[in-house]
Order: sequence, then structure tokens, then C-alpha cells
Amino acid sequence: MRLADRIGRLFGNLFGRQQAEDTLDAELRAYIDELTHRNLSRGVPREEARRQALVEAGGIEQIKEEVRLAWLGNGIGTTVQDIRQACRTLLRSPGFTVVVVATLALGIGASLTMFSLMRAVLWRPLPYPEPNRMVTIQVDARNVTNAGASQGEVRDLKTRSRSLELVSTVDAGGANLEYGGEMEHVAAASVSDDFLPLLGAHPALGRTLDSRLDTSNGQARGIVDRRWAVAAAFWSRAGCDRANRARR
Amino acid sequence: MAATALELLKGTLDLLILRTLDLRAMHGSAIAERISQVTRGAFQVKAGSLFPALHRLEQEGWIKGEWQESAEGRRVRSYVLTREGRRQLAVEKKTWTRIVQAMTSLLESA
Repeated sequence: MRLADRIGRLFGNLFGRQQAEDTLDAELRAYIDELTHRNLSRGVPREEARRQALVEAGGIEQIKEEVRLAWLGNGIGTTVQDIRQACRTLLRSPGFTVVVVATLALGIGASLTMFSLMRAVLWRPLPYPEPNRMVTIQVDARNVTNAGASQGEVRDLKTRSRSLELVSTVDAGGANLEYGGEMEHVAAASVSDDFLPLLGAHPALGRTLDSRLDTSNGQARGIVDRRWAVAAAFWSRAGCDRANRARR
Repeated sequence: MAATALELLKGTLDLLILRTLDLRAMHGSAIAERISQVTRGAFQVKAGSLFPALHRLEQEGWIKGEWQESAEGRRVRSYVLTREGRRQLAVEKKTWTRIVQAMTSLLESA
């Protein structure tokens, strides 16, 4: 049988059930009629002919049930039966069932944890626009890994590199912040002017860093600006409203 | 008519039906009647095994049922052999011949 036929028949079994039942019913009735007529032609009276035909055919419902089994044999019905059988078997041996379910649960749980961790760490894109265009440049000194770039090196990268659009230094670390008499340790980084534009971040209030404006005499002091940038998350955690922030 | 009806061997009913339909399209009771006649009453196919077999064969795609008018003008569901059915008939014939040969050589061995 061609695969297409098979699939068609499968769907026919699943969805054309009523039609198949009607056909079967009509077919069996026609069969009884045939037997009745044969008996009639032998000279048996009508009532008796029909009675004999029904006796010869055997239980109609039983035949239908057998035919339904034949339908099931080729359809998805067997899958349903398999599932029922599986459930019965599992219920018969609860100890085994508990072990299997526990094994599956632990296995699935562990895989899920691992994959959600990997998703967070490895696959989720960075929450910045065009994260694929963002690179980290690590500058090593002769014997020191990640020693950091000198100002001159950064300036060279900025002015001479044609691959980099914006260059910012990042010196990450932690800081203790005192606010309203409370001390809190926060993640902090010392960055240069282009850091926030590079991440596509816009200030909710005020302006981003500008080393030319942020020096006391209004002149450019260099690339590195030593001000702490405080994230909005902290502000909201500290319970500040907008006005409060504006005052500070 | 033979004195006693033989019990149908498992799996032979399919072959009997396919062979019977090889002649022409027939409906259920005609198939049973024909089998009974040709085997001189040795095989009496009851509705309880005939119809499940017909529907199973139809599911396999070896026969195809369609509503037709019988010779007496009644609506009956006739079955015809499909091309796959003809192929299956050849296969089952060959298998059956091998069974008979094997049985015969066993029974007649010294």
C-alpha cells in the first residue's frame, strides 16, 4: 500500500469514524437481507426466514466489535490501547513505577536546570543593541595577563582603528556606597566617555559622561573618567523618586 | 456436501477471500456462499469471521468495498481485488503451496 493511502486511511479511521460505522451497519443489514431472501426463495415464511438469517449471522453487535478491532489494528487506536496497557502494568507494580518516575523526574529536572543555565550564560544575547558587534579587548603586559591598556594605547585604538566605531575603557570592580546612612556594596566600573553610548544606553535624567565637562577646569583631562556611574536599578532600590534623583 | 465442516486454519481465510474475489467483485454473503460451494461445504465462513476479515483486508488496501446493486436489485457492499491484492494473492498462494508441500513430505515420510 502506498504511504499516502496509509496515511489517508489512518485519518479516515480517526475522523471518519461515524461514516465507517454507518457503512458497517448498512453492510451488515444488507447481509441479513441477503440471507433472508435466500431463505425466502427456499420457501421459508418471511418471519421465519428473517429469524433464521439472524441466527445464522450470529450476534450483530459482536461482529461489529470484531470489525472495529480490525479497524483499530491499522489505526492509531492501537496506540491508545498500548497506553492503557502501559498504565495498567505500571499500576500493578507501584514500586517499579515510583523508581521510574523518580528517575525520569530527576533526569528531566537536571537537564532542564543545566540547559536553562547554559541558555542564560552562553546563548542568550547580551541585552544591548547589536551585541554581535561588541568586542572586548584584553591588553596583556609582558608577564601580567589583563594588565590593562595605557591611555596612549587606547587613544591609538580610538583614532587609528578602522574596525572599531567606539572605544571605551572598562575597569570593573566593586564599591561601597553610602546612602541615607546605609552602606551597600555595589558592582562598579570606572569607564570612559564612550562607554554608555557604546552600550546604547540613554540617561533617564541629565546627560552621560563627558570628560571635558566633568573636570574642574572644563578642559579635557584624558580618556579615563573616574566618576562612578550608578545604575538606575540601584536608584529605584534605594527608594528614590525622580525628583529626588534630580536634586542629587 | 461434506459430512463435516473443517475448522478454518488461522490465516487461510484471507487467502480464500482473495482467491474468491480474483474471479469477480462480490458482496459478503456471496463470498461465503461461493467458498462453501467450491469447497463442497468443507469451509463454512461465518459472518463473525467474514466481516472482520473483509475490513482488515480493506484496511490493508488489498480489497476495496463499494456499494452496488446486486443481481436481484438490492443495494449491497461489493468488494473488488486491488492491484496490491492481486500481488498479495500471488504471495499467499506461494506460501500456501510451500506449507502443503512441507506437510505432505512430512506425513508421507517413512
